Amino acid sequence: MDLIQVFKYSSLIIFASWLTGLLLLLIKKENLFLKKIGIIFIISGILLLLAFIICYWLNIERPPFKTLGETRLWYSLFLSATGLTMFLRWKWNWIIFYCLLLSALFLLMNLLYPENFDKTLMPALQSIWFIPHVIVYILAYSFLGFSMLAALRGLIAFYRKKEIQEVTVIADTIVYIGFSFLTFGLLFGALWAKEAWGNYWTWDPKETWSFITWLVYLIYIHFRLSFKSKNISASLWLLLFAFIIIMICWFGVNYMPSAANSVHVY
Amino acid sequence: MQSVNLWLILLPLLYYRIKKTLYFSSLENNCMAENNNSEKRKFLKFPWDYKESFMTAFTLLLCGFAVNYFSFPAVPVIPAFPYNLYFLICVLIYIFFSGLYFKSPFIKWLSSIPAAISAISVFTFLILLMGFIPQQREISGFISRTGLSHITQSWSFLIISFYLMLILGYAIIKRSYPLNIKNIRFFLNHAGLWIVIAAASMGSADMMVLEMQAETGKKTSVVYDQKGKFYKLPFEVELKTFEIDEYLPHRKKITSILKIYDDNEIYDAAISVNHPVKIHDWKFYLKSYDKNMGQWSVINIFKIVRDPWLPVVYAGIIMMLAGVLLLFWKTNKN
Repeated sequence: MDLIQVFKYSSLIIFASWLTGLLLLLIKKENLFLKKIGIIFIISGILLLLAFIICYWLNIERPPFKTLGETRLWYSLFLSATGLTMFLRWKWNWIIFYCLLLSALFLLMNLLYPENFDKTLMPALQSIWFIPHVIVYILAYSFLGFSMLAALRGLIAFYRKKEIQEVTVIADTIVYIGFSFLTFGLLFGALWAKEAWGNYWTWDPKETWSFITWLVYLIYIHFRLSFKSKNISASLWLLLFAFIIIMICWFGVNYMPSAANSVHVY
Repeated sequence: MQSVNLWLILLPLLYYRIKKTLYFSSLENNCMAENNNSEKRKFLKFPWDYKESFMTAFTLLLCGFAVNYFSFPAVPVIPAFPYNLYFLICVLIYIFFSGLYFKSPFIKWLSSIPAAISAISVFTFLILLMGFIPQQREISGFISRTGLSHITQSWSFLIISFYLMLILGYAIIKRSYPLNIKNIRFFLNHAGLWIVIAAASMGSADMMVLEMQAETGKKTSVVYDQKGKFYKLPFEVELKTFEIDEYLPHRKKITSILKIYDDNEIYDAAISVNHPVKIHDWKFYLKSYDKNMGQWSVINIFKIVRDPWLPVVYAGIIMMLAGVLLLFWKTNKN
């Protein structure tokens, strides 16, 4: 059986176990036994995803951080794992629901667009910076993805005129963590580029867009510091907008007219 | 020279001392002013807020476009050493001492969050344009005249960056007192960014990017830049060996070994992708080889970079990394 077949079956099993787990969590909120079983289902789904990634890594004989599909795999893994941790830590039902939905979406994208499993790794990518650069970025994107989910939650509550103080505090905390990772990714990228090409910054389209992402979250942080408990809906909209910028930076750049000669197109 | 060094240490201390005294006197003033601050403020009357901040930032942007339009096809040129250093020192001294007037409403506004947000937003807007419009100098017409086809070399970019640096500078000065963990984190993040931007932009004038063609059995010291102008290195170079090692089926390692004739010394330097080698002030990067000949190619092209401001940029990057680590620590604690 080739890798694509394995991926097809394992992702279907992952979907099924996550769905069962979520249903068990939602059916009877007071029943602790059902809840435990539900969590076990979700955990086994995540573990299966991890097992698939390890098996994939061993098969392709290079770190799996090169193609878009590979970054999406890691994204689903990190998103679901951190979502579960947050759920267990703070007991928010909605967060596990949203983030499993989002990571299932990214897995689905990989199912719909299976990639050819290219094994070569060009010399420029053979660097000690390669793995930290990509991992830190994927962590940043998953935390900032969370902040988007929290913003969505907050906006729904806002238009229903419900309490949103807690959700904005959560969003702020997550943005701080995500932004820290984002800064690391940006700086690691600059240090790597210096070693590989002799320039730390060349305004390559991917660099430009990741800089825009960084700036938009910088605006959010300063905006929140300025308004504190005022203008909350505006700041939540800003988080949704920022996530769209992330999506452009991650996938969209490849389709931009400005990205014809980018070193980051993959 | 000794006395100059002493002043360099004493000046910040003196500054800190004055700031501390003024800070406490301003606190008293603020308490008195707080009581009669209830009436509605007129536009452009101090203290300035978001409206005035965004107006200023957009005016500066439009000015940048206008200057670009009328000075076309000339582009702003950053002066080379030592003038870029003089310029930076002047800006630093100016911010440093005008920062002492932090009670003045204008300086207060320049170091405020609304000014910061307006500057970052307009800067983001400019970079967004760059994200959509292909950046190539050849395009003619309106896009080119306003500088939108080469934003990083346009007046608007330069002016907005300078405005951002000014605001960032005043914000750093404002938070230099009191010295606690929160302000240290603020300082590392903001001053680190200031140093990175300042050194990278001003240093770009002193950065030399050259190329060299090294051959086996032929000593050479001739290098050329992108415009085709020739220079001579203070040492000679000869390609000793070149090999493409396929040590794994899907991984290639490309290494070339140069023989360096340096005054009376002769030594080897192994260069591969991601592993440049520094010879004197020059860093050698393996750029390409004769693709037709493959493993047996006798000609290699090297990219040679001299970047004297690099340690300053790295200092800024290290400060930012430390600041971001503190940011983590803070959020994890909450």
